Amino acid sequence: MNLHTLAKSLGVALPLVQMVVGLVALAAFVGLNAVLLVWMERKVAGHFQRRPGPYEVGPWGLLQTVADAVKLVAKQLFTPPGGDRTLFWTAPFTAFLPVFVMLLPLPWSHTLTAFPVNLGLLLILAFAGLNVLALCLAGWGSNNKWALIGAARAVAQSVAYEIPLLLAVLAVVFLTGTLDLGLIVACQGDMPWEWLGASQPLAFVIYVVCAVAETNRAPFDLPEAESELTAGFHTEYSGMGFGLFFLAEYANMIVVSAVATTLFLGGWKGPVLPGPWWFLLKVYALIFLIMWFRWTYPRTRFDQLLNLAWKWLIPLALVNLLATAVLVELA
Amino acid sequence: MQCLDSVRKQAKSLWSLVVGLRVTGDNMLRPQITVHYPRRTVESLEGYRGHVQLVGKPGDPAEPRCICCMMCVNSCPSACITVQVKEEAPPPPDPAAAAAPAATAKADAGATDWSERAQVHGGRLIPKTRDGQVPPPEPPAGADKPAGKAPAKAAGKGEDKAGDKPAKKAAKKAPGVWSLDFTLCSLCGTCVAVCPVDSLEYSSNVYLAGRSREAFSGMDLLARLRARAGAAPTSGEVAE
Repeated sequence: MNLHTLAKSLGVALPLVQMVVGLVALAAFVGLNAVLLVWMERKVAGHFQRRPGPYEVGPWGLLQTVADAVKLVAKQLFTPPGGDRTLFWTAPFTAFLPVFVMLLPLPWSHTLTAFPVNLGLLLILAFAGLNVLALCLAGWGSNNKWALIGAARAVAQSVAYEIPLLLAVLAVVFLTGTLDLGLIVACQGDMPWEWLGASQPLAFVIYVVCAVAETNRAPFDLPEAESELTAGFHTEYSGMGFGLFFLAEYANMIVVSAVATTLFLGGWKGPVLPGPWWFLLKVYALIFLIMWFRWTYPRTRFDQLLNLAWKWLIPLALVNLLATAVLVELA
Repeated sequence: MQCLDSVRKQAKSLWSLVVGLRVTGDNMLRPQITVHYPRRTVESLEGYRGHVQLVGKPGDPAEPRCICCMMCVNSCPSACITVQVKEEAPPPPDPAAAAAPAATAKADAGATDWSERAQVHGGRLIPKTRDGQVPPPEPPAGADKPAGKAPAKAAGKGEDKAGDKPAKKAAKKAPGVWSLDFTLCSLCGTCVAVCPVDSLEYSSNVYLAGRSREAFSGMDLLARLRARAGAAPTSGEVAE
């Protein structure tokens, strides 16, 4: 389908049509992906514990998440008495909506990008910061001590881990000299040793650790530590309020994995297969790794969490950045 | 130096993370343990501790090995076992057998009033002697097996091996009532452990279910043994 003709017939500018089509496609992708990822997570968890995971609903239990989603939609939306109603219901949307913006500049292949911008990386990092706000609002608006403690943890954690994450990303930007994700992929080759992950292994490791922390996944899932905080910041959310947080979590996993793929794993580049397949393959491999972490590592204590960020990741990322800067200057 | 040590320690911890991933990864690749239950069932229920059930004699699976020594009744902490000796026991060794428990009771210096204790426990302890004789005493802890054999031997009066194979020799004592109050049973397994003739075992019936509490307050284990022997002589399942 030609977007040019569509834009002409509608009488609107081409970028607008591109963006709308891109957003609709991404919305479909996010929804479908959440269903798939929840299923995948449960299957992965099952296999790690040597049990089958869901297998009753649909073939291989594939429709289990659909059934769960129907149940979630059918549930009553409850606002806790004494909570701040506006903030309480703003939070799930604040968590969920930025995800679409973050998915826009990602290059799926050399032609397939929903909204190519030359500051794509910056756009993603800026909107990723909104997630903290959402958790903070959810915790504050709930009028619940567990939710509030969860929110406080989320803020401290996100602030601590955003710094090494940015420093790690910055090292890649130093090497490539651009914030355009398409151009960053263009700097890398088909083979693993031509990827930026090979020249920036430390930055890659730091990025993965920070990404796990930023998405509040185990072992850094303190904001929703169920053994201590019931469910953390989303304790009071029922039905689709919780559903949106859930969707946002899985969409965020896609975003951080996609950014890691783009920056360190050669993006859509790879031999034989066409671009989008390589991109998806790498993204889902990273997501599998994150799930693997979850079923291997116990949750960290809060002081351990912050010590790791401030005492190890930030100094290491700084050293890495300095070394990269010197190398770039010399070369 | 301290800084270097710290770095070395951290590197070691980092390696442990990799080891952890390998452990879980290995487990993921191994075959699953879960049995898809309604379609398949586990092959062996050997380790399952169901309710207590009687073991049949080798020659006659419908008749229990039980010699009515009352050790299970006495040792049961929940007092949920009721054993009654069958009345129509063969008459010849009757007087001797009747006298034997009393003799052992007298021989035991630490013997207490067992009928009173049985009342305290709430269990029904019905000895064969009806003339107010005290029943066989509970053996001291740690000496279960030999003490359990002693009354049987005494009952045999000169018949060697009576203690080893009480079931084979002319059934002097056989239970007429053997009922278990499963609503009280705590499944401690003491009765299975103390039984001198291995007449008790755990059932492997995992489908034990009923519509009322009363269904399990007086389980007739003799009837269950007969049903088992009649329905399927080799299987360990209770035919309900």
